[in-house]
Amino acid sequence: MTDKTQSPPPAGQAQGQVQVQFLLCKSCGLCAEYCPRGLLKPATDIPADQRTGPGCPTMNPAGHVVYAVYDPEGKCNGCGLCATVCPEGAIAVYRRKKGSRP
Amino acid sequence: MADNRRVLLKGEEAIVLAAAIAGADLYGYPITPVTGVVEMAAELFPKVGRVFLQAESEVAAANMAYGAAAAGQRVLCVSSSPGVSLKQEAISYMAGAELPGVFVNAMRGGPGLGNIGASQADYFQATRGGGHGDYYTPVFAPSTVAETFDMTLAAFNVADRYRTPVMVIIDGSLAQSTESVQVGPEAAKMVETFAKPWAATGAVGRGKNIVTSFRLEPIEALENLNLDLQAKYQRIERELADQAVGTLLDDADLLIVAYGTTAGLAEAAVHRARAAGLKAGLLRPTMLWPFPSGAIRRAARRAKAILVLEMSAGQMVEDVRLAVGGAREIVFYGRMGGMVPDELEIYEQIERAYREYVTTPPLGSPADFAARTRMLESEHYVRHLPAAHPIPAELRIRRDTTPPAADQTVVVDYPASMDDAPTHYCPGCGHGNLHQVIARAADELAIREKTIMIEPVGCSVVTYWTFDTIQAAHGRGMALASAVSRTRPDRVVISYQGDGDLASIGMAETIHAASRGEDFVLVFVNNCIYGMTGGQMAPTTIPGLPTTTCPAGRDVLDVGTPIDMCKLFSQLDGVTYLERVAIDGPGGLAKTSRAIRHALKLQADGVGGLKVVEVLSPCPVGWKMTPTQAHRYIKDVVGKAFPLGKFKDVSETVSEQRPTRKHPAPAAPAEVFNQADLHWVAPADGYRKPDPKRFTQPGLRIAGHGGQGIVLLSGLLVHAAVRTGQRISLLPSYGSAMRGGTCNCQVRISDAAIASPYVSDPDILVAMNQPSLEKFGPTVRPGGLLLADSTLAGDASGVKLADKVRLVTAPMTKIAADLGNERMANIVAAGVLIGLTGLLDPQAVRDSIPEIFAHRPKLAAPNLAAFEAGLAFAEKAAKGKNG
Repeated sequence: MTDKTQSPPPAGQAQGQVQVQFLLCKSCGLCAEYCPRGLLKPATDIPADQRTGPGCPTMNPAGHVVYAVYDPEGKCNGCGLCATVCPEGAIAVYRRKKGSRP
Repeated sequence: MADNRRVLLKGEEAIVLAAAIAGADLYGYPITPVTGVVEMAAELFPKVGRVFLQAESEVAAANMAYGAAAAGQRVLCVSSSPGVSLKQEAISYMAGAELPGVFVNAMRGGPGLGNIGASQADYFQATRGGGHGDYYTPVFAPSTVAETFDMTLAAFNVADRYRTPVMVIIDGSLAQSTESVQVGPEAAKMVETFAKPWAATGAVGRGKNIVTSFRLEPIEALENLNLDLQAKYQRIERELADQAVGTLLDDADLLIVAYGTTAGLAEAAVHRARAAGLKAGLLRPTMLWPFPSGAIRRAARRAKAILVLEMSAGQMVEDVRLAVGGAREIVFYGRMGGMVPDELEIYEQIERAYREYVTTPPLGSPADFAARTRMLESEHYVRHLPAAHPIPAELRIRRDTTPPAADQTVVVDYPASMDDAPTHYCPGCGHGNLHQVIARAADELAIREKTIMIEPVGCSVVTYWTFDTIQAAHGRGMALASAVSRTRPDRVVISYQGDGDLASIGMAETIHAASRGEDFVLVFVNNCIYGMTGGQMAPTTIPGLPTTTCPAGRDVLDVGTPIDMCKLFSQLDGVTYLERVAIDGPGGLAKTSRAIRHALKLQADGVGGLKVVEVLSPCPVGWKMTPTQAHRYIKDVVGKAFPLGKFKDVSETVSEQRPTRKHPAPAAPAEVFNQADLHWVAPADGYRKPDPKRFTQPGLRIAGHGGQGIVLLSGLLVHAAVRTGQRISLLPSYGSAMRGGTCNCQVRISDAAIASPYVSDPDILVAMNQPSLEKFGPTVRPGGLLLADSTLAGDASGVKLADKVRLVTAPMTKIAADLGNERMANIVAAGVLIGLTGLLDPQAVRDSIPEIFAHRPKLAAPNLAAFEAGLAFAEKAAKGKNG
């Protein structure tokens, strides 16, 4: 059983890419608390069609409302704080290499 | 040329010697009557490449053994009843984690503190597992010193072969008695070696090893472990079945079953019974689990009744009953509370049982007897256990992130030192963060394969790292880590412990490991609460934080203020790095990462001492807060109660650094014998043997008060006897003698094997003071000799002597005083004794005196003179009598 269903493509022009493995999310909200740009939210607060990753549910099988990235304006700079504070290690953050900006 | 030397070996020396030969380390704690074990190990082990560490308690010692065993090291623990009770925690954990180890119990009188007398009252404890859970430990029951040596060696093999703790049960008299034993480096041939691929030695080039008794998921996992254990126990029952020794069983009408010290006495009593025409035979179990039921059934077919003898209220007798299933009458006789039944007393029991059940058997008709005998042919115990439950191979959710694209760099990803299981922690729990911090530091320092993680009991009991892992008993992480780091000093050992574990139940282990400056890293997770048990008050709960056992918050007037572990640690020189950090947001996590990385690096770089990082960690569920509230609570409240910062760092002052300890290379067996301070005697030809018509296995009691050299005199006699090629046993009174009370030794000299060191009715009593004369005079057997010092034990008028006991008094103390030192009265006594009885060739004693005084050569000449003076007195007395 894998949870690749929420492996979002880089949103727009965003520098960073945040992958939340929603099966592992326990809805603690620390990622949202510490994201400097407020880009992580409970999936229930994100319009269904704008949740990163197609098929992202609002609740995972363990019963937690999952957190997801809502970054329609491409503000994520890939600072990694969300992943650092995630107790579950459910978040991976990648950043575009310098000079590879489209 | 073969070495024909004998060692006058004490039971407790035999244990230490066997352990050194077997390559075991010893984690000890002193307890009478086996304090000689830790004393000898402290002296010998450092010289022969073995680890000896005096632990802070039996609990810690056994848990150190658990840790060292988990790291692949052979271990020995020696204790006596109350201490063994404390060790049961670790023994149960070792049984569950399938770890080998040898535990010796010198059983003493109980219950409770009891006394130090010989006892067999821990039979149930030893043979029924002893601790909690459904397990057995193989149990050896030696009955002589030579057997104690052999069985301790064998116990290490059995422990390793079956991956199980093994007990060797003896008692104080066996620990303290001396026998002449022919033993040498060739004993090492008995040592088998076993590969230990399961040990936590660092996950180098393989998947992680987890040493644990813990099974939580899936629900069938623990029953499966138990089924595996039971299958193993059935294998042990088959392969080690019927370990017992029989004496005169072929025609025995009365079967006696006894083990250990009691068996030795029973054997002597059986010979006495045979001499009186009673057909008694002895079956002596040498292992108590597996119990030799088959051997007992076979021996019982011929016998009409069974007499079971124990130093208890009747424990092994239950196994005998189970073995014969009602087919035979069973009589039990036991002494308790440190009382040892004497040979005469046992003989009386044999006589009684013989009279009541053999001579007039209440067994009905011969047909009835035959029918009962047929019962003994069958195995009547079948155990049905279910088959192991199949467990789905894949229950875990695997972590599976999409790898970065070609134009992406990784900012944060899941660390390689974490495995792929989702954690069971509550939302926002700091454990998850801290696990990743440790894993990232291990990744960065490239020490994943070198790391051995000790996990506590608490929320963090489940392992999520890819390190080799050992699961500790509650509070004992520091004891385990101490032994693991001493066993594998090139590894990075981490003990990960919570506040209840570290600062409450494990406080003794914590403080002592810190005080010793053990070479490992302690990660102390302080969340001010007992998390796993559902949020009870911890030693670090701060006032104002309600818990389920202090709903109104900690009442400092009633239960005291929270314990500040960093304050305690900062006073201990053994701690070389000490910092308190907090998981209270990205900044706190960055500082936590730095501190953990620094501590691990110090350890990896070989900087000695305890490296401590205390981490204030959120427990949102226990604190009844949201995760973000919990982070703020740490910032605003917890961090104020427990101030953050670095308290100590040896890396800032290089001069204070010391390297980590080394695990020594074990010495060869020959070197063990060279280095051990053993009492060697070389038998020589040409000595006159004593008249066999006068003496067959003479038994002596030599008694006086502390300081009279009673043990020295006894030692001289047995030394001389072994020089003439005879065997000996020597049992000193132990305990009170060393504290200045009365002192006496029981000595037996024989051409054949000696069944028991106890001398119930001595052929010869040497009484060096009046109380000894009065106490032991009546025990001298008819026709025996009572030799008393007329200076200090001159009044035999009130002593009731048996028939034809010859009473000789000699002014031994006075003769010695005339020679210039009244302390030589004991050697004068030797001269008088030999001169009167011809017990030994006087030349053997003359040759032995310089050997006995080898440590103090100046004393040899005056003591030789004292011996000659004693001989001369005896000669004169004999002439006087003749003339």
